[in-house]
Amino acid sequence: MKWNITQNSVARVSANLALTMILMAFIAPMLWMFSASLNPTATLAFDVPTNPGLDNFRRLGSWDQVIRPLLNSLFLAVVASSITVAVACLCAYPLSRYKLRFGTLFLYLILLTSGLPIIALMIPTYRGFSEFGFIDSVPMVTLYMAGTSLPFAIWLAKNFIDGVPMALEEAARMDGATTWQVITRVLVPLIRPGMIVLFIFCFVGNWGNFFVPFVLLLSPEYQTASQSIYNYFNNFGGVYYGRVAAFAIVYSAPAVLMYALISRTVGRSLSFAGAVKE
Amino acid sequence: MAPAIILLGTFLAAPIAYAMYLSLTNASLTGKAARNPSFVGLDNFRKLFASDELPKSLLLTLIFVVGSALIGQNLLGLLLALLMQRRHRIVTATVGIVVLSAYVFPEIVPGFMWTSFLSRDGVLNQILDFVGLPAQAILIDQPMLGVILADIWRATAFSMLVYSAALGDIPDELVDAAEMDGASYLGVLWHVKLPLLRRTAFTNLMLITLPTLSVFTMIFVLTGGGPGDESETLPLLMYHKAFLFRELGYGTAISIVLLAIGSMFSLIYVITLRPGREDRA
Repeated sequence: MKWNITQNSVARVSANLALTMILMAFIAPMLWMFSASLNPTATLAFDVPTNPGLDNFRRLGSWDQVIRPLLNSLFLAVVASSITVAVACLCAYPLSRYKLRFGTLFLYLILLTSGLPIIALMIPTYRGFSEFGFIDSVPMVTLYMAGTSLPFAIWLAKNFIDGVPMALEEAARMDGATTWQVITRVLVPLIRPGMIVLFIFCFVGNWGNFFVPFVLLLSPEYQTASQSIYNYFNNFGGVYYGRVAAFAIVYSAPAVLMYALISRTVGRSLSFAGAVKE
Repeated sequence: MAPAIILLGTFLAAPIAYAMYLSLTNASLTGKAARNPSFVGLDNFRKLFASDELPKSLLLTLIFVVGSALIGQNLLGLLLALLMQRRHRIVTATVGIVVLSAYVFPEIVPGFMWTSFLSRDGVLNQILDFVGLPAQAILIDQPMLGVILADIWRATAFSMLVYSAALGDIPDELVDAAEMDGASYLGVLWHVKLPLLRRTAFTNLMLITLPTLSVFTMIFVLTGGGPGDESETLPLLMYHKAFLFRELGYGTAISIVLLAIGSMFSLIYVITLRPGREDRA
C-alpha cells in the first residue's frame, strides 16, 4: 500500500512535469507577439521591453490599413456565418424529421463534400468569378464563404436537431400549436445553443480565412484584416514589428473570446437530458 | 432545403465541374489564352505526370500529413488528453486555454509567430543560445521540419479535445476494476484505455488528415514553399502554377489531383461512418 502511494505520487509529479513542459513549448512561440506589441522598438527577438507601453496599439488607428479591414472581416464573417446557420438549419430539419426519398444519399454527399479540400477549388472559383465579373463583389464572396461551410454546418445541425426529442414537438401539437408555433416556441429555443455553437465555428473560420479573400477580393477598399496584416508584415514588418504584433493581438482577440464563450456552454447546452421524462 | 441546394450547387458542385473542364484546357491568367482558352485534352495531366515536380510535391505533402497530422497532432493530442485526466482543474484549464488558443488564432497569426520564433534572432535561438547550443536556421536548412512543427502547434487542440471526450466516456468502473486487480498505470493504459479508443483514433485520424492535406496559409507565410521547392506541398504547387506562372489550366490539373486524394480519404471516412446507422459513435 505504501509503495502504491509513492508510485501514485511519482506518477502525479511526472504527469504535471510533462504537462508543464508541453505548456511551455506551446507558450514559447506566442511570447514574441506579446512582448513586441508592448515594445515600440521591437525586433523579431523576444525581449522584455525597457519602456513598455501601449504606443503600438494607439498607433493602430489607421483607417485604410487597420480599421476598415477589420470592419470588412467583421461584415464577411457575420453575414456569411448567419446565412450558413440559417440555411443549414432549414435544410437539416426535414432531413432529421422526415424519411426523405434521397435523404440518406444527400447526407452521404454532404459528409463527402465536408471532407473535400476546398482549397483545390480556388483556381476554378477565381476563374469563374472573373468570367462573371464577381471579383471584388463582396456579396458574392460572402455567399461563397457561406456556401463552402454548408456541408459541415448541415451535418452538425442535423446532429443537434436529432438531439431534440420528437416527443416535445408532438406534445406541443397535441396542445394545439401550429407548425410555425412549434418551430418558434419549441424547436428554436431548444436548438439555440447548438445554433450559437455552429455560428461561432463558422464565424471563427470566416474571420480568420486568408486564402479566399486573398484570391477573390483584390481592391484595397475590400481588403480583410488577414490580407491587410499580411501586407503590413511584408511591407512594414522590418520597421514596425511592434505594430504588427499589436494588430495581430487585436485581430485574434474576437476569435479567442468567442471560443472561450462556447467552451463554457457547449457541454451543458448540447445535452437535452431532463427535457423528457422517460 | 432549396437555399442549401442552390448554394451548394453554385459554390461547390459548379466549381468542381468547372475544375474538370479547366484542367483540360490551356487557360492562362493573362494573354491570348486567358480570354479564349482552347481544349487540349489530357495534355496538362500528361505534362504533370511526366514532370519531376509532381512526385516531389506529393512526397512533401505525404511527409507533411504524416509528420503533422498522423504522428504530431494525433500522438501529442492523445498524450495531452491522457496527462490531463484527473489533474487539478487549474492545470487542465491553463493547458486547455493555451493549446486551444493556438488553434483559434486567425490562420495568418500563427504564421507570424512562427516566423519570429524560428528567425535568426527569434526565441528558439535565444533558448538554444542560453543553453549553449549553436543557432539554427530551421526554415532554410529543414523547411519541412519547421512547417510541420508549426502546424502541430497550431492544430493539436482538435485531437486533444476528441481524445479528452472519448477518455471521459470510459466508465470509471473499468479502470477501477483493472487497478483493483493490480494493473499498473501503463497496464491500464495498454489493456483497457487504448483498445477502447481504437474507433475514436480512426475517426480522429480521418478528421485531421483532410484539413492537414489542404494547409496553405501556414506554409505560405513561413516558407512560401521554399527555399526553392523544398516545402512546396500540393496546395502551394497549385497556387504557384496558377497565379505565379499564370498557367490556370495546368494549375487546375494539380487541383484535380488534390481533389482526388481528398475524395479518396473522405470516401473511406463516409463508408466507415455510415450516417444512416443509428449506433454511430
